[in-house]
Formats: sequence, structure tokens, C-alpha cells
Amino acid sequence: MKKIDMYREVPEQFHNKLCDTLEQLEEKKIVKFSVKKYVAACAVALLATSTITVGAMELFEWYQAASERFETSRELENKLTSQGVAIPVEDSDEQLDMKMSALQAVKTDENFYLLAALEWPEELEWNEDILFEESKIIPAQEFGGCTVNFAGEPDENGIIYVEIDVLGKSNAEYVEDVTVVLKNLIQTEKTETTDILVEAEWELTFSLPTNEDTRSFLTAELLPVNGHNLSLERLEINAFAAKLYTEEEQGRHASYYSDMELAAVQYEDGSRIEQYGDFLRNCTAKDEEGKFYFNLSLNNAVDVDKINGLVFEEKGREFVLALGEKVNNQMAENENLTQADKATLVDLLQQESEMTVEDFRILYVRHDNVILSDSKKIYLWDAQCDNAKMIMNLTDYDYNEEKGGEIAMMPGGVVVAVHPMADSNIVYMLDMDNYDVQEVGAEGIWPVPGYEDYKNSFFKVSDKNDLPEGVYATEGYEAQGRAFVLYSADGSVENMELLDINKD
Amino acid sequence: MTKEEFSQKVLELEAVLFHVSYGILKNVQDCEDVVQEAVLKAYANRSKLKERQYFKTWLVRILMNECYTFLRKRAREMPYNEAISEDAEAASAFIKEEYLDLYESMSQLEERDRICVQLFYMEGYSIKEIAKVFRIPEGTVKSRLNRARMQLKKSLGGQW
Repeated sequence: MKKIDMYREVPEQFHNKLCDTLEQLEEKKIVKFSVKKYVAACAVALLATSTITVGAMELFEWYQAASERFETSRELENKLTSQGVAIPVEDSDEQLDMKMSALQAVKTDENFYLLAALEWPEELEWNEDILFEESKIIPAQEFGGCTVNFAGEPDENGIIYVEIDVLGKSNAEYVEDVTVVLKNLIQTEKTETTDILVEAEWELTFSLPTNEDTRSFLTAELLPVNGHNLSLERLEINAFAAKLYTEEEQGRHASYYSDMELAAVQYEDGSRIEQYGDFLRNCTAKDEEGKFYFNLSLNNAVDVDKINGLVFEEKGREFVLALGEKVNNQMAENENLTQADKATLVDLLQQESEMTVEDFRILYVRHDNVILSDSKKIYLWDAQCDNAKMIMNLTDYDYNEEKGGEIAMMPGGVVVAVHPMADSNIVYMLDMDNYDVQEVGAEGIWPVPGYEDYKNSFFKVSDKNDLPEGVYATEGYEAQGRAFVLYSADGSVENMELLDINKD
Repeated sequence: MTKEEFSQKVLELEAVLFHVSYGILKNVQDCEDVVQEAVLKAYANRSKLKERQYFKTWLVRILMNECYTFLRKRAREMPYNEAISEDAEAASAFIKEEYLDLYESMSQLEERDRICVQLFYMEGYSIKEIAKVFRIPEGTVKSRLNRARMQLKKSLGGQW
């Protein structure tokens, strides 16, 4: 397409500044911190921000770094503070004249967030590749560890904020105090070798907030995921997460190759809090009772009292899942659209109607989603609903089985690797997230990691006894104790089924 | 990637960097600062870019994040509409006269739609590249472009 040439030249001052920036790129040398040289100069600034007591809860205001992390309004912060979801914390530890002070903690659904401030010496030049060498949480057995990040860079007072995400577990609420240990500041850039800039260990001990404000909702609406209508048993929502409970088999089956994601949370006044969540398929979880749900993190915190719907997006289409009263009729329209997109495997094979079940082989099976090949094309086939799409035309990539072409699945079923011929120096990687195909050099890539194991997961169907009468594809696929075969009573693709012969 | 290679690639994208940042910030001086920040950040993190062919999507993504960070900081100091206000004269310095109507209509689009239009029609990015910039499915890019086209058609009276 011809570009629209709408713009004039880039302004000269912009161009000059960009050139200056590029010229100075490597002038910012890393200055190693010398402890002896350091004179504490910024303690006063920290004092001003760390004199909060737990007793002064009503006066507690969130630190800016925490507000930015959760994108909270002052109103929401006050609400979460008054509920005890967010609390001020107080402890500090000074090592080598670098004082670290715990400031505030927030219970974020199952996890916890701690904000701390670290006095940063002038002599130590800040850059984004500095990090703590080790971080741990005590008592370790109660938690799933912690991750540590710097929020921004040192401010004008020489304070840098440290965000510690404590991965919690349900029994964490019985723990009175926790200790976070952060060891050594290191530099890992360029050569990938690790330099220790500051050799020290900081310990912060504080109480975790245990309160949360989670509401349950019921909805009569169905959530249309990848053409499946999922009924939701209940929804649980708090400021930082939404849990959608549904039947496990259907939930996993529908979401496995779906691009549906939570795009926003809708308030009663129609405004929306945008979210940048993962795909539904990446958010599957089970609660303590073994109930299945989608656990959707809300990176922008929400006020639960104001919510009236969850906005989902899949393939550019929007679905508003109403909580309580119905939000609008968009859902039904979109549902129809999704249904209209459906095609069966037979629809896709219009020109090759003589094909039978024996022409296919399974490449991969997960939650009744089958990746199939007929040696010319690769299909994604929903064996429960007979919904299919062609995802790669192998003939476009010179794939030739007679000349030693091979296909492999990467672990997890997320990438299909196609080596078109035995002597080919190219491998095509089909990304199952978006069906993009990338060409990469075969050297060092082919055979892909785990290929031998993958090949061993296939078996000859003729070796199996006591199978129902009918026609079968030659090869079956075995994984996680299940053995799948393609079966058709009359051999036709129309009647093809996926059988688990270990189960069936 | 060496400093020279990096600089070369950045200069090739100079116009894109200016247009995208100006589209969000509406102020040349802010663009200079934010682009500088984005370039420094990209340079410091260049080892994390595994595949060089994605340099232009990667850099634009970093730039957009920097723009939004800048606006968030600015919003604490002044109301949002003041922070990004732009007068017509300022726009005419960068937009060719015959495209001022189109530019004006594009300004009415939702920001995410506008940036899609800008990258696709003005900067020559493919659907796939835009999807990588926003980390959204290609279908979402197409629907944003469709929605934007419809709106532009309406406001430009069929000229689009």
C-alpha cells in the first residue's frame, strides 16, 4: 500500500536532540560504587516520608509509586485503606550507609505487595540493569517466594522505590510477621557477567494486611469463548482480580486456543477501567476445593462497588458480561457473529471431498482441541464441536514428506515446527497464538528440543486390540496417560471422532 | 547490536518516532524529551531484543510506554486536556496543508485507533507489526482500522 505522505520534515530541533542523544549513548559509563567515598546525604529526605505510624491509619496516604503501580484514584486508595486491604508498614535496615525502609503493604488478591524506599548514593550511577542478586521471604514455606523491582529511578532526594511482590498462599493469613531479605546490588549488562556493586544484605520485617474486599456475583449470561457458550457458576471480584468459575472441562476446552482476554472493567456510569490481562487460557486455576476458575489479574485496580460489567475482547470483538442487570445486547450480536464464523473440517475440505479419516494424522491433542495434518495442510480441529480452521498451508512452504519433511510440536502445543525436507536448512515455526509463521535457520534448531520424545508419543493403531469396528487413522497419539485415535464408523471425515482408547 | 548499528536504526525511524510521540503528546519539546528517554532505555535494553527484525515495533512500543508515563506524571501537575492541548497553528508546522482536514479528523479518533491508522497508513507498518507494537491479535488491529475508517469517512464526507 502507498503510504500517505501527510507530514512535513521532522523539526530541526528534534533531529538535533536525537543526534545528540545517539552520540552520547556510551558516555554514560557505569561508575562502581565505593562504600568508603559515600557520605550519607539523603537521610533527611527519607525521614520526611517514613514517619508514619500504624496508629495513624486514617491519615495514611498511598505513596506515589504504589498509586502508579495500581493506577488507583485517591478515592479508591482511601477505601482500600479503610478496609485494611492497604496498610502502612514500618521497619528499616541500614547497610553501608544505604538505608532501606518499608513503607506500605497491599493485599492483592492472593499475593501481597510491599513498597520500600532505598537511599541511593550519589556516587552510584543508576541504570536499569541494576538489580538485587538474591531475594527471599521468611517464613519461606508459607509463601511462593517474591519478586523485586525498582519503581523508576532515584528521585531528586536520592530515594529509589523498591517494589516487592510476595507470592502468597491461603495459609499466609496465619502468619503474623514476614521478613523480606534482599542481598547485594549487582550489575548485569553488556557482557552478561555479573558485577557486585554493593555487597550488603537488607532485612525488613513487617505485618501483612489480611483483609480483602471480594464480592460474589451471579450472572445468567453466557460467556462466548471461541464459539463456545460458557455458563459461569459465579464471579468473584475484588480490587485486584476477577475470578470466573465455570465447569472445568468446558472451560479448558473452549479457552485453550482462544484469544479472549479481559479488556476492561465497566462501571455503572459507563466509564471503563482498561486492563491489559493475559489471554483467558493462561489464567486457569483451581481453588482449595478443586473448583476450576479463570483467575484474571486486574493491573489497574477497580472499585468493586461501581462495577456493572466485565468487557472481554476476542478477535477484535467485544463482549460485555453483565453483573446483575444486563448491560446491553452486544453480547447476543457478537454471539451470532461467532457462530457465523464456524466451519467444519468437511467445509474446509470442499475441494478434496474424497478424503477419508486415513488421510489424517494427529499432531497434538489438548483439551479436545486437535492439531491435525493431511500432509498438505495443518488444521486446528475442535473435536467436541466439529469446528475447524486451516492454520498452515504446507504446500506454501515446500513441505514434502516423501523428501523427508517432518513436523513437530513444541512442548505445550504453542508452536508447530515444520522442517520441509530432510536436507532443508530452514525451519518454519507456526505460532499457535496468532498463526504467524516465522522462518528460522535449521542449524541448532532442528530437530527441536524434545523431538525424540515427541516422536515416541505416536503409536500404530493396528497394534491396538479390541477397538470398535470402523476406520482409523494409521497413527495414534499418546500423552499424559491418554491414547487418542481418529476414528470414523464409515471412514468419512464428516463422521470423524477423536477417541481416547485408554478411556473409551 | 553495536552503537553504530543501533544509531543507524534509530535514525531510520526518526520520523516515525516524532510522528507517534507528537500524536500523543502534541508538543515538540515534550517529544524531544520523551524520545530521548525511549532511545536511552532501548539502548540499555538492546540485548533483550532477540530478533532484530522487530526493532521498529519494539522501539515504538517503548516510545509509547514512555509517552504514557510522561502524561501520567504531567497529569498530576495539570489537567489532562491542558497537558495535551494543541493549537491549529502548531499542527500546521508539521502537517502538509492538503492533509490538515484529515489530521483534524484523525484527532477526533480514539487514541488507540488513531495510532493504528497512523502506523498503518502514514508509516507503512503492516498489520502484523502493529499487532506486535500493541501486543494484540491481528484481528483487533483490523477492527480498529475498520472502526477508524468508518469514523473518518463520516467526518470527511466520503473523502477517505
